[in-house]
Amino acid sequence: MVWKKSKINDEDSSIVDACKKGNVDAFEILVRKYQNRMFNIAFRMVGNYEDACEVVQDTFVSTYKNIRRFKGQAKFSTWLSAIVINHSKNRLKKLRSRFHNEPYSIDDPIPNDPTGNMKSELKAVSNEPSSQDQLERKTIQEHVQKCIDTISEGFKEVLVLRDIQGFAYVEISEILNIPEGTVKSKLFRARDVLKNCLKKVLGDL
Amino acid sequence: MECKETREKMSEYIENFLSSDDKKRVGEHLRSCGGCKKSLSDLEKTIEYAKNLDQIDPPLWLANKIMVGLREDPKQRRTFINKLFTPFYIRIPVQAIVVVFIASISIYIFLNPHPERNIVKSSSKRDIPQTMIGKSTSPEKPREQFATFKGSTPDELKTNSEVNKEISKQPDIALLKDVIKNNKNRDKNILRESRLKEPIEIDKADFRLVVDVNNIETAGKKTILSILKSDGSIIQVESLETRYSIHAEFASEKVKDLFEKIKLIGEISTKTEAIRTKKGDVLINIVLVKR
Repeated sequence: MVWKKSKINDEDSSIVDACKKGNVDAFEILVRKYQNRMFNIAFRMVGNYEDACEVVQDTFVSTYKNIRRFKGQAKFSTWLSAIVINHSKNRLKKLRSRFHNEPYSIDDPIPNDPTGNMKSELKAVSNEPSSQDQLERKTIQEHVQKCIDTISEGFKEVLVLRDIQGFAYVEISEILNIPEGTVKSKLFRARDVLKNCLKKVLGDL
Repeated sequence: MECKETREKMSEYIENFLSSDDKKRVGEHLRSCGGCKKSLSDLEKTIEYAKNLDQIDPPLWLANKIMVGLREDPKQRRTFINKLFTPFYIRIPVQAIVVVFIASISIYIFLNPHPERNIVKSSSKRDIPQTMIGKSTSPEKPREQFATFKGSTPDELKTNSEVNKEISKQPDIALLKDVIKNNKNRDKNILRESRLKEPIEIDKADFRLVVDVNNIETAGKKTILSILKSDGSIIQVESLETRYSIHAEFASEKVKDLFEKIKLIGEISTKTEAIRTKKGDVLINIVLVKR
C-alpha cells in the first residue's frame, strides 16, 4: 500500500506512538475504540459472525506486530481499515476453498413465493404490526447481506466501505490503494449487482 | 443522452458528484424516460437498504481475547524445557532436589575414606552381618564349616575349610601369609559392604585381650593360626607398626584353649577371668603390643 509521503493530523497519533514503544495498554485503547467499526466491516465482507470475530482478532494482532511500519502518512483508522479488508479477503478465500461459504445466489428461487415478493409473504406471518415490522426488517437485512455476499470481493469492498461504513471516496482510494475513478466505477458495478439481487429477492423495491 | 449513459452516471448523480452540465443532461433524460426514472428509484432504494443495515455488536469478550493474545507475545513463546522449569513452584523443588542429591553424594564420598585405614567397630554379634562373621544362625550347620574366614557362599566356605585343614596339618609360613593376605582383602570387601548397610561401632568387642609380644608381625601370624585352630572366626585384622589388632569370635568353650595357645606367643597383660566365665559366643579383640 502506498501512502502519501507527508504526515497528516491524526487524533490517534500519540497513542500510536506509545504503541510503537511497546505499550500494550495504549494499544488496548485503540482496540476498544475501533473494534466495533472493524467488526462491522469484517462482518459485511465475510457475512458470518464467527469468521468476522476471527478476522478482527487477526487484524488487531497483525496491526500491533506491524505498527512500527506505520509512518503516519494516513489516518490510523484508514490503515486499520485496509488491514481488516485484507484479512477479510483472505478469510473469504479460505472459506471458499473449504466450501464453507455458501453464497446466496441471485438465481436461487424464493421459497413459498412464486412471484419472488418477500414483502407479501411476510405480511401473512403475523397480525401484530410492530413484531411484523421487526421480523420484516430483520429478514430484509438478512437478504441484503446475502445479496452482498454474492458480489465479488473487488466490488464488495467498495460498497461496504462507501455505502455501509460511509468512508469518503478519497479514503476508500487510500484504503484500497486504487484511484478514485476506479472506486466510483467499482461502486457503480457493486450497487448494480446488489440492486438486481434485491429486486429478485424482495420483488419490487 | 441515452439510457445507457444515463444509468452509468446514475450513481454519481445520486451522490451529486457530476458536473453541472452532466447533471442537467441526466436530469432532462430522467424526466423523459420512465425506465431510467424507475432504475434511479431502485438504485436509491438499494443504497438506502445498504445504509440502513444495522450495526452488529461484536462479542464482549473480543477485545479481551485480542489483548490476551497480544500480551502473550509469540516471539517469547517458551520451549518445553523452559515451560517446565520457569514456574517457581516447579523450578525451586527441582533445584533443591538436585542440590541435596549432589550434597549427599559429596558427603558419602567424603565419609568413605580409604578402606585400609578403617577399623571395624562391632558392638555385638547382632550388629555383625552374617556374611561378615561367616556364621550361620542355623544350628544344624557344623561349626567347623564357619570357623574360617568369612566365606559367604558354600563354595567359599568349602574352600576355606579345606585351606584351614591344610594349615592345621602343615603350618607352612608361606601358606599362612597367603591366608592372612586373603583375610585382609576379604575384610576390606566386607567393610565396604557393611558400611553400605549400617555403620559398625568400633571397640565394642565383648572383651579386649592385650598381649605383649617381642615381634608383632610374627606374633600376629601365630595368633591367627591359633584362632583358626581354636575354631574361631576372624572378623577383622588390623596391622599397624606399634600393634596388631584382631577381632575374632569364638564359642565360649574354646576360649580356654585359645588362651593357652596365646600364652605361648606372648604375655597376656589383661585379666581373663571374666572371659572364662562368659557363656555362648564371645567377640574378642586381641591386641598384640610390642614389649
